[in-house]
Amino acid sequence: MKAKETRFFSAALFGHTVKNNFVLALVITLIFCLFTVVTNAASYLMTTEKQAVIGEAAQEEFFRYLSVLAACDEVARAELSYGDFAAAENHDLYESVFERYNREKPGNAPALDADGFQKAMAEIEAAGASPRAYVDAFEYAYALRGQTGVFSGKELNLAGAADALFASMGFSREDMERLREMDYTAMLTRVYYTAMGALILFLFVIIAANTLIAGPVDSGSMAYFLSVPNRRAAVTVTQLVYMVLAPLVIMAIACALRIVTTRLFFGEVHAGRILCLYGGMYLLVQAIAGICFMCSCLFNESRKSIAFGGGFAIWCFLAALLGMFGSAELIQMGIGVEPLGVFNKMTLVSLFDINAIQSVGTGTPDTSFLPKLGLLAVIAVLSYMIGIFRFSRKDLSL
Amino acid sequence: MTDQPVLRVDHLTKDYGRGRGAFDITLAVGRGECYGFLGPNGAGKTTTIRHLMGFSKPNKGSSAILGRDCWRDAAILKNDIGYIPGEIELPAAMTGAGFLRMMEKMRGVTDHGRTARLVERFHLDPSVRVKKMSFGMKRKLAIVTALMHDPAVLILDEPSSGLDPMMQKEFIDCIAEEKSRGKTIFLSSHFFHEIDAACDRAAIIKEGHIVSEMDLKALKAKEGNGFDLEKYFLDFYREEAEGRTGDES
Repeated sequence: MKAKETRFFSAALFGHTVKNNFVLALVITLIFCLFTVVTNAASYLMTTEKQAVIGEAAQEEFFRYLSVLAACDEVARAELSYGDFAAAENHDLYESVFERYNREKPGNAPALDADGFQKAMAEIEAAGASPRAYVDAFEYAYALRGQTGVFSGKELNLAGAADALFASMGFSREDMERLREMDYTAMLTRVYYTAMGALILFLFVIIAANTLIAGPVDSGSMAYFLSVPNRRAAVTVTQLVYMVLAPLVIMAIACALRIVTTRLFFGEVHAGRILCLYGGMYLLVQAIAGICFMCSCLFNESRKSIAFGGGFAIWCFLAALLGMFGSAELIQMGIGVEPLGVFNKMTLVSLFDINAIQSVGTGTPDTSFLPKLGLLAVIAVLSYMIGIFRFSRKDLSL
Repeated sequence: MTDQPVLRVDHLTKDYGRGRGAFDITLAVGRGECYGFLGPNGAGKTTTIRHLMGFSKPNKGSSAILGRDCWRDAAILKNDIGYIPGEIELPAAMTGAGFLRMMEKMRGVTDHGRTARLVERFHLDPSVRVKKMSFGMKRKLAIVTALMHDPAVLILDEPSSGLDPMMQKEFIDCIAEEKSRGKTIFLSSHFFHEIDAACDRAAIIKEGHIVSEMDLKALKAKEGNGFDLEKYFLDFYREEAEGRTGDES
């Protein structure tokens, strides 16, 4: 009697699993990589397109020139304007207007000329702002000059108008400042690693875990894998190897892509930090994978495997999303809701501490993320083992 | 050694509740014998086979093949068992040939010639994708898979259902051949003609119990062409029913 049996790993079954799930893995890889590149590009655009604040002095200077033109327009009914100046080749008319002003101006006011006007415009444009926006603001400032409030008797100006307007809408000047200063890139990073990016991988893991064990048991095709000299453990361990390797390959490709695009967009890259982030994300994905795998081994029906495993994974995702709005950063930015922070305690995603990991490579690395990631690894290992153990001993209605 | 039964079930009991399952099943099949398991759907045939294949473990009793316990040594026994399941659900998305190759690899079969001859014999077109196969084609694929490694024991669950009459005959001839080569066969069916044509002995199973065990060869010798298994079966059921009513009154 032949005595061959496969105890732990069946290459034939592994090959079959790889082929069977190839399209799924490919699609997930493409989506994940696309998402990686897009978020990286978005981060880059956010940092470069942030409009610089031009100094108050530069604005005053620009307004001074505009006042001269405005006064002249009123008196001489001329059509001088910023637009006209910017478009015209011939600045002689403007030069003569400025000369006349210089003659008539109060003694301590600075002298103006066409070149100076040009410089003031250039300064605004250099900061990435549009002079047109300042011209529009000037219109209101000019109209308010000399006006006083009918009730308060106070002198009215543009700054006062802005404050009053925002106050009536419920914003303070500080809120506006904070909104400007908001670090969108930090939020985008957080969303990528703990929410949307993680979700894509969770979906892969949920589907794969079911396709590997519960699906064949439910449909009956598992009978074929067990009608050959495969021990139960050979089936589960072989499938486990796939659950461990497939996300690794997918994430390795995306990680490489991220490192390359970061170098491309930002000119420099801290590869070690990115590797740590992806490493942490991988452990999070494995913890979820382990639980989905365990559910797949425990239940005989596909729908139960997906309901429990998938349900848990989606819950972790949703709680992480809600918890994000209760996180310290968003509360500081003024768009957070503190009570939502409780959701951070209800998800495995919280064990993936992005902030601490991002401190890697800086002068003050925070290694508190390590034991948390260790816990994720333990959860993965334990749930895989429970799945394998249970599958080896349970009745199969094949 | 020779009088040890190849396939043995010993007071096997598995209770799924509400009267379903197998209860105190005992049987023995010798080398070169074809043993039939006859009964309607839900009678407990598949339950017994599940235990022989090591898919389930019993509440009570045991089953053994070639001297090894079916649950404990399930994996290693598969070297010598060819199995045709009742419901054919094949792992998806491959051609028949791909499936056969995979099964050969999993069994460690190196003699691809045998597989090829079986494919030829049963007129199977292996290039068709499994998803597009008709039930009969899938059944043929299962038959080839069960025989490809020339196993000593065959466990067949409704093996010829879905086959056209020509193929059914071909299949029964094949079983006869295997028998003559000394293979041991356990055949479960609800078709009388299948059991009649292929089996030496048969048990009638009803509601999880073996209610009768017949030596078909002897019966056929006694009654000759007049032997009709179906009539026998129905007579037996009627007797049983009458007997019960008799007790109640």
